Amino acid sequence: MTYLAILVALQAAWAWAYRGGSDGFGLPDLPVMNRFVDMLLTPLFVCGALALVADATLYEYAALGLGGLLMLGAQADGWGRQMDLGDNDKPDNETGYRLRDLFFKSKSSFGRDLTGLFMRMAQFIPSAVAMWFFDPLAAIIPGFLAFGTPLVWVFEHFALKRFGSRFVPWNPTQPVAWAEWIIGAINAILTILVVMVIS
Amino acid sequence: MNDNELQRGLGRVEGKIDSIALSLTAVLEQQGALSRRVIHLETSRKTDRAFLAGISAAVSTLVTSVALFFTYGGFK
Repeated sequence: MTYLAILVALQAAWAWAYRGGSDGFGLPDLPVMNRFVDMLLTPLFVCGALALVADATLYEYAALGLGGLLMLGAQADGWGRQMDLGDNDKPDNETGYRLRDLFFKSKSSFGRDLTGLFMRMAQFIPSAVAMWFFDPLAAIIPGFLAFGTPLVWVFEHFALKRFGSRFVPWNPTQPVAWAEWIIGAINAILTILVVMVIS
Repeated sequence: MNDNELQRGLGRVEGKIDSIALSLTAVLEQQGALSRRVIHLETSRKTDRAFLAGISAAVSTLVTSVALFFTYGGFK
């Protein structure tokens, strides 16, 4: 069962990038997919893998389900201009922009967009709290999404965008969502880690 | 040595074996309790380390972010 759970957890590696990300998936979309299904994939694979190996009570399974539901909901927000971290000329109009108006002079800057990313990803904290009641270790997965992901976009901003090789080999006009692939890979690794500890 | 003396001697030996078996059971029980305690401590050491690692990772992420924030313009 552990191997099956690891196999399921590995699917989280592509599921995050499949949602689109800053530059699209890089592979053709399947016709059955819509935004809801795209967003459902990550919590489905993460919670599915954990549920396969968990030896939990009914309440703990309920906490896992609630954590997955909150993880699904937390993805709904954001339309991408913050990931450019000040490089995007469009003025900041994402959730909480009026709060940021109080502190920032410019409508688009590195600090403003980084703050916005942390505010957006903080929506994963309720999911982490719910997962904590399933197993405290499992909270590390939404915890990473809440606190770790903004640094992945910072890494993309300072390292990956300098490479100039942001396009898929078979289509030079289709960029790759490197940051989202990295986030998905870390999601999968963390899920496998938790699966191996709790199984 | 007649049969009576032999039986009494055997009875005493039997009693001693019984008491040894009893004390051995007690020692084994103590050992079981001790090893359960050690397993509990080892598990909690592992989870404590995992929590410490998680908290350290979150704190260093936030510190790095604050450093980056002020390096690249701050409240611009």
